[in-house]
Amino acid sequence: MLLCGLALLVLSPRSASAGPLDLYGAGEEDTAQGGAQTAGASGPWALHYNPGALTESHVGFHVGMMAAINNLDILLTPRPGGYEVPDLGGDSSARPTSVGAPPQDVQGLPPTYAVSFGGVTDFGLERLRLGAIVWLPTQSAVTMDTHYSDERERYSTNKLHFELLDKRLRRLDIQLGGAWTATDWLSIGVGGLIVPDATLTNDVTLRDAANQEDAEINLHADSGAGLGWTLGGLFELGDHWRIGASWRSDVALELTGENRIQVLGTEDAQGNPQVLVQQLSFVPSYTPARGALGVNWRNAAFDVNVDAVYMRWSDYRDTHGARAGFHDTFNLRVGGKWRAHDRHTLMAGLGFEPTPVPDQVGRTNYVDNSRGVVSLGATHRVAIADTPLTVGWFARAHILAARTTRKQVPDDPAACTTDTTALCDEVPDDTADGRTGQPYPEAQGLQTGNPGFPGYTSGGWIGVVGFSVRKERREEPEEVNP
Amino acid sequence: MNRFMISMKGFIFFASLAALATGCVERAENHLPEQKIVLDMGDTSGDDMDGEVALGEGEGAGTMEGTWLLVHENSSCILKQEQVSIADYLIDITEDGNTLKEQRRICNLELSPVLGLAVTIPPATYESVDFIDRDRGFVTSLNEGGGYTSSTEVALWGLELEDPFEEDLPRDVDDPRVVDADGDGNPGVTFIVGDNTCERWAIQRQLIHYQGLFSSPNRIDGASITMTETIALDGSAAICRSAPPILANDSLNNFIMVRVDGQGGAFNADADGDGEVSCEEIQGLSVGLNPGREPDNQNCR
Repeated sequence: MLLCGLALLVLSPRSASAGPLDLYGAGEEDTAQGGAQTAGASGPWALHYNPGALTESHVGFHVGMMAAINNLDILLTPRPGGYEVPDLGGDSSARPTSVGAPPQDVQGLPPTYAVSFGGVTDFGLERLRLGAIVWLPTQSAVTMDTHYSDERERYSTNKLHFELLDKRLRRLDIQLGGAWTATDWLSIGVGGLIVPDATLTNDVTLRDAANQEDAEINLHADSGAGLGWTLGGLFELGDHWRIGASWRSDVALELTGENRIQVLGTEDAQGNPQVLVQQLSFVPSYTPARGALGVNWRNAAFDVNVDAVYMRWSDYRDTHGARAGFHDTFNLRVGGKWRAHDRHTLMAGLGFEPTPVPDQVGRTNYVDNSRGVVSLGATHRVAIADTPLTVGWFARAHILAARTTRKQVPDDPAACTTDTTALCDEVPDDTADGRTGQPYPEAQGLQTGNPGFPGYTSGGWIGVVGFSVRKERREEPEEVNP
Repeated sequence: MNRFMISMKGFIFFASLAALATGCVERAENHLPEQKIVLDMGDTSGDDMDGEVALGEGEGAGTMEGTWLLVHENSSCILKQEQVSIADYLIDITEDGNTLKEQRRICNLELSPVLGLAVTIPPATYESVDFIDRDRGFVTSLNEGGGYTSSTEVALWGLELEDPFEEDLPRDVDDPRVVDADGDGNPGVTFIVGDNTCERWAIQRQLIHYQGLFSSPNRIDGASITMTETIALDGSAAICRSAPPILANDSLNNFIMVRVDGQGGAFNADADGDGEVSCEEIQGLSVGLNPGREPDNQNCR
């Protein structure tokens, strides 16, 4: 544990996970510099941090690949006796604890692989830059995965889930934008963030309600796009200093619609079919609004970047669209670049992000940890078949500070309803035997199958490695450290 | 090249620290005490149904006249799902020559869920059921092995029919034969579907006939045949506006009838000594007679 604590102390800085690019990085420059790019970005990935900085980019294109190992764990605390959900037959709809598999630990998550593309053009105008970036996970372009944060999850996976990591971030990310050099000291830019969304309407007809595997189903699906926007500006303060500022709106990957279910033979007294409507409203991935202020200092050999990032997590909606009660956060990122040689540049970065998730002592189990980031990378200018290229590599590690959650049992646990926030009773104390009218002794006190009861510990690390190749039209040779 | 090697050493350093962090997640100890459940809830009422004198002896012996508890287990099929109901009745019997005049009250009615949806009958609903006195039952002997056949139980729920047997049930909520029997302001009687998911406002006609044998002087065991017609007139939500057909599954029906007025050596449920046995006084007794069973959908295939 001492070593663990030491490791966390050393690695305490880290980055944000609002969207996939915040966690995994975009290009080699930003990933290797810990995401501190509001004032120091260049290349198409500036769209993600500050579109105003796009004016610093050379015309060209980028191609990259990355892989992430998600070595993340959630270990459940052993359950004390006496809190099991009893089998009361038809007198209680709660599933008995004895039915089904018990809650399981999470030990490691599948890796993430992605390819990325980016490009910048100027249409022949010196002051104009237009850019586009695409980040595409290779396992699935868009993963729509939802889970409940409370005892309802026991009817599905019966596991806890990292709320702000994992599948939420496995989605296509497309950003477009442009920037204009307004004056010698000011560039402004605007960008758009596109994430897919979908509307589903399913008509389900059951001929035999007892055989629900045999259903006539029609699917009506419309896919669309959720849109966000980014504004940014870059201020030149002399030869060495720049200040960048940006604001990005929130954007959500949403799935809405309804299931319309008919059971033949259940028409009303007038023969009208009775259609049961189940509303669908999911938010598999919500990215909060964020504001960033960055400072860049540079000379011929070095770049130093410092970013302060505000994340409006208080607007966060979980995968079922419920307000999660998170706190807004401020993150700090520091990055640097050393032009060590006319062909080689070394980069490193640090960051820290406090978790927006408050202690989960009540009903919900939003699992998240404060994280530190350390990153490294380099670029190397090479020529292949007389074509000058810049090849880059990067590595980033997120270290999650281990976090232990301990549930608090209310003195008089309330029944589980949509409004209950404290740890709730799945079998209320007044649950009575319908035939005797007598309350069940097994129903007294707290009965819960909440997979996060009585607590859990989460932590681990994420390791990201990747490389990129870019071809740029450079009018001047890159400055070289003498 | 040297500088490149330096950067590789940095990478290895970072990777080592990351690997070190893998051991940082340790399972926490439980911080909560075990919860002790007190199993003795006090009154469990009614396991002991022995009378004060020997069966078939004492005052009231040799006649069925008095108050009996009837516990009826009824199997029916709804959308190919078995529904098992347990109904507790109090029957006040008067003898008229060789025949029995039976006056029924429903004290409790439990229905097993169908397709995961439970239907609850509020007390106001079954207290409003109108039992039609149509014919008479009779008994051949009160001794063990003696035969019993009941009068026909004709129950109208939320209905007033001129001919309770032949008349087609109304399907229109505005039909004058539909009455708000339970007085809740909604047509017919109210069934609660699910966990207060919605209310079904319905009418129902039920015909039941019981036939059995005395297994002891104050107890009859037997079977029943039932016919139930239910029409949902309206509801508070779509799922409650329809009532699937209820198909009889009589081969699995059974009933137990025991005397509960203390006559003939029987158990006396008249706890308050007012000379009448009330529904409150027999609450819980039926569990000792028939604990109920889980529905089995194979019974409806």
